[in-house]
Amino acid sequence: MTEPQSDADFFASVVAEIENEAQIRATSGEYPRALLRTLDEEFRRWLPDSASQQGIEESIRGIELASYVDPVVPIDSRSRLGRKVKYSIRRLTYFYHRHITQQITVLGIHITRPLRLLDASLKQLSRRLTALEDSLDVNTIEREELLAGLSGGKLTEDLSAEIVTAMSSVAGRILMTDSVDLDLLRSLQNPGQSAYGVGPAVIPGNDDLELRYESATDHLNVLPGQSLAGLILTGMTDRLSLNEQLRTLRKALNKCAPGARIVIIITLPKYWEQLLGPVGADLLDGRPLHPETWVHLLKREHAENIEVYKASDQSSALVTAILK
Amino acid sequence: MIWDSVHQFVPTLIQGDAIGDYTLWVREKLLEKNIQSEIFVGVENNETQNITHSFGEMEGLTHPSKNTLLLYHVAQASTCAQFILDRTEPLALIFHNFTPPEQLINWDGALADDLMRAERELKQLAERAQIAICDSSYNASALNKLGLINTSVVPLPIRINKPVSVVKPSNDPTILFVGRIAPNKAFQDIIAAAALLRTKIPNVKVRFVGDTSFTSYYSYLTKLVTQLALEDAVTFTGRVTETQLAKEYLSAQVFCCLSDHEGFGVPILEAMKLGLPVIAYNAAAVPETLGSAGLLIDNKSPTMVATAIERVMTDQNLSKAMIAAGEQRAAIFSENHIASKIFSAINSMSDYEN
Repeated sequence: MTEPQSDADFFASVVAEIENEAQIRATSGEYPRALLRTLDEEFRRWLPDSASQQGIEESIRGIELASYVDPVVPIDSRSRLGRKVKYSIRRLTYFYHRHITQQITVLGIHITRPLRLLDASLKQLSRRLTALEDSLDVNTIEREELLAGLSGGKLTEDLSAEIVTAMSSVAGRILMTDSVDLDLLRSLQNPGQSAYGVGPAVIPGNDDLELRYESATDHLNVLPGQSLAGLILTGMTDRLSLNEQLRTLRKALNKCAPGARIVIIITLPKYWEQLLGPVGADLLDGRPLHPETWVHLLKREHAENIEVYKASDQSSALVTAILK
Repeated sequence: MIWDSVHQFVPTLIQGDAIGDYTLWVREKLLEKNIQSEIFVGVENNETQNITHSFGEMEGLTHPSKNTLLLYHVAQASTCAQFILDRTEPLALIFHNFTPPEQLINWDGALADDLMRAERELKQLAERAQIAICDSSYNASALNKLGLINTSVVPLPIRINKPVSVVKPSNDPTILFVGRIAPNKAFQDIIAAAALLRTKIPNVKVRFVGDTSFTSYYSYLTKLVTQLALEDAVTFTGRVTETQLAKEYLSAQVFCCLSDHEGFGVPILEAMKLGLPVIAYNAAAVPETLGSAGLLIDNKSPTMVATAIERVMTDQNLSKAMIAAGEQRAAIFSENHIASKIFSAINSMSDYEN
């Protein structure tokens, strides 16, 4: 019952294209944001708990299985007569046993149901909290319009050189996200290093580089813990809301191994304000953070050797650190 | 071994239901081979009681014989199970799998309880039976977890045919799903995707064909449809005749199955046979049934599903390729082919010790 491989490959490639397209649509504001939120909430509400890989589901299932009492009494016996007698008693009393055991089983289900509800409520609460945090910011469409004045911007040569120096001793995977500077990424392709870029913008014709076309958050979600030896955060530091930046930083640091080298690239707030004007600065309050704030945040994460470098033209800055 | 009689046991026989129709079809094939065959049920159904017997009537209707085989369709708990366990004839199980109780427990606690009982019954039946015929490898693997039993995978036959009269495709782009209204079939995910899709294709329609007797879940779905203002776009037809079912397939543009659990998935193959491109969510036995003849998605978030449906509806080349691959796949599940596999499985029982 095997199908031609060409069909399998073709349909798999179409699904991959659809996944990419869906991801763009989900984040681009193409669909009404309020409708998306309602639907996502409804979708998660009924997603089988097993699909969300929560250990609590298995525990509840265990309780449910344990609460099932079998009404069929064993009739094993050494003698044939004994078996027959037990069998007759079982037939005669089966209705009674079944009645009793069903009530016990139903009791078990009634005990686990509140646990399930509690579990579901906690998950819902967590989702609502995240949504509430995000709702403190301007909506996605407005945000995109306001940020249109920001270009991907190339790093100044002096800052690029600082990053290359900072990363020179790093051996292992280095992630640059999510506004990838291709020249910088190329200069990090040294023996023993494996630098790659992740970002939502299409960067065609760079086959010599490992580039992933997805959002930084999605990528960090699937990345194994402590798998990075180096991390370069850029782009998101200029665009994301305060809460989003803090969450991304926390998530990213969780993916870094002890000793990992951290580099955060920031457009300096004064220059950023010049680019976007007072409206953007007012409505997109909380970004970009000052270098001093990043230093504070990294200190709170117990990073060490924290250094700040400002670009010669005062447009941007670097904060480098080593994670303990 | 040639069997003189093969009697089937089924918890209850419902016409139009995949297991009910399959039981009747197996009987038809047995009678064609001059093998005596009766259908015994745990609970009689008004619509089929003239062709079934209560399991207690077996004593009067048949005689125990080494050449009599009992076939028990396992899909839920049944009073038949204990009766069969006490019989001495050779036994083969036809395992259609159970809906995981945790997917039903928030909707119908008693039904979830019943399924847990069915799981216990299955363990005993698996010890007693000589072989188990499973609809899918997924079902066979679930059964093998219970212990040592010889399993044979024989899918269900696809028997739907095009109606004699010509059916024109619907004027509105239509998404179809066929199946009993039950939580494991995740109808809400199709409704959610339709709400998004309507922002791109305003006249899109969704038709759900299947029994609506699971009232708590059906009531939730109708409320969701109202909440999303989709009353004019979503239709629940309830159960339909075979001819009407074929017409539903022929007038739709895409078949979408987002079930969290399917032991096989007959409607996926029916859709393929009648030339409908299929999009399905990767869960339980669905990938096995779909093969490489449709779009198998790992993520069924509303955005993903809406994007996939829109792509199939607007990309004629893709749609044509899916239809061609589907028709080719459905041909594998022809009645003759499946009938020969069933006879081969039950005749192989002489190789196993009773």
